[in-house]
Amino acid sequence: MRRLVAERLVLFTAVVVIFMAALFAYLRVRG
Amino acid sequence: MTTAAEEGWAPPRLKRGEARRWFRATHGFRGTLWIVTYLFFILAPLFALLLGSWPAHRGFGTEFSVGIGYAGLAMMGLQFGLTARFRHVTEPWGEDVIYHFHRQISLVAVALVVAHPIILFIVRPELIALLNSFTAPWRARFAALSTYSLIALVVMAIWRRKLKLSYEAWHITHIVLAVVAVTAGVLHMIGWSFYLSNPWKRGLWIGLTAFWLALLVYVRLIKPLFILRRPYRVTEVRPERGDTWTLVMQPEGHAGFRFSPGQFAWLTVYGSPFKISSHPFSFSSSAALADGRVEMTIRKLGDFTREIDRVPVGRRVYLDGPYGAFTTGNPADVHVLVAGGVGITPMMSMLRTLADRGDKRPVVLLYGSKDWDSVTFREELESLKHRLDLRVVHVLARPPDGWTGETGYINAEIFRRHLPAPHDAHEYFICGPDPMMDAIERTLGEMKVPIQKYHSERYSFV
Repeated sequence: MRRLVAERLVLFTAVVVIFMAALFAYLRVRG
Repeated sequence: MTTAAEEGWAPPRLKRGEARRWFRATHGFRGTLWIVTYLFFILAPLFALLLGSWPAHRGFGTEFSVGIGYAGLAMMGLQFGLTARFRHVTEPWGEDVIYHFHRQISLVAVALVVAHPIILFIVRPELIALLNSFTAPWRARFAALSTYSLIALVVMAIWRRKLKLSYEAWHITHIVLAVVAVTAGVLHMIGWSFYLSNPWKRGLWIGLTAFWLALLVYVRLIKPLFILRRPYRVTEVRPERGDTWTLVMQPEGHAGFRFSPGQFAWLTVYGSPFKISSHPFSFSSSAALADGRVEMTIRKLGDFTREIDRVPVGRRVYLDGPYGAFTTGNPADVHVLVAGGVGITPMMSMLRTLADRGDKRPVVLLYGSKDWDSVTFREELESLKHRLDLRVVHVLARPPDGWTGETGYINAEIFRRHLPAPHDAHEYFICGPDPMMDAIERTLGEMKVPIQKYHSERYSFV
């Protein structure tokens, strides 16, 4: 289960980072 | 390595949602703070690029690809921090979870770094020409070098055994590739000079890279220097039952360190602390010893441990520790220790410490072994019953003729037979092979024991 916890953390991090990269691009394009 | 079947454990079945409940129950505040800090170190340098003035945008696709490129590089850089053995970095989760996170998040980082050029090639096909490193400018060559290094790094990490690389050779290559990947990545960003044309933004990213590399210098050069000045001497190599040996180590010229029962340290037997040859082992001795002496009990399971019985008495060794969040100290009416095979090691440290401290709280030890002859610390456990309110339940996978005790697997029935109710009031500590630990955690879940009441730490993380 501890591995599962690490994997959930990884998944959460990946989703947040991709979302924030999209937000970064949106803010840039929108000016 | 002994298998779960040999140790006598049922295979695990994990339920969805268990990890989430465990996270909420045990790691609410500190775990959240940890992940927020981690994300801050990835995202703050990215969003800092939006401060002040910036050049005209190049479309959503290009800017998105740039965003994931920067974030991917920051994640790679932070990998140096995850493995820098800072106690406060690993404490909220435990060393094993952080190392597993380190391995898995590297796949995400590489995916982001590889996705960066792929998205660019899709939205701006003219950039595909940059793949030709003979004609491409240096800024593109650095990008290629960084990406290829990362891919090689991941391939070697995943298939190290198939590639027949020794742990030491792999580790050195791993470090070199990581340094090349991160440095080339930053040189690519500076060379492209789009966002980093601004001096303070360039300074920020160069400073960040220097910080990441300084973490490596700390863990590989500065910390070993401190460890070198605090050596230990092997004073005894004691055979135990079950193809297992105890190394007794005395600090040489210093007072040693204090540890909590259940913690572990990285042991270097051959070579200096600068050499990449340390291995993690739990302490098996009492944490209440006043002379700084520590003991580690190690079973012959292959690789480094294969020659543990040949370690000469008098040899100088080095210890980097203590580490780990698997420790007693929580107030509980009953401590329940669940050990499988050599997983008895941290439990012995707990039992010896409780005995030395005169702690009379009830302790129940459920101890799974292959057979009666291989039960490590069998005799000492019997004698500890006189100093502690201790009950030992042996569970044997291959019991001898006439055995009247428990056999087979440790399961919910064995828990119910030997533990006083209410089961959810006890504090559980679990150590053994991975499949056993999954199975026990599952069993405790079925018994409605709250997740914050049981503690486990896995040592098969390197």
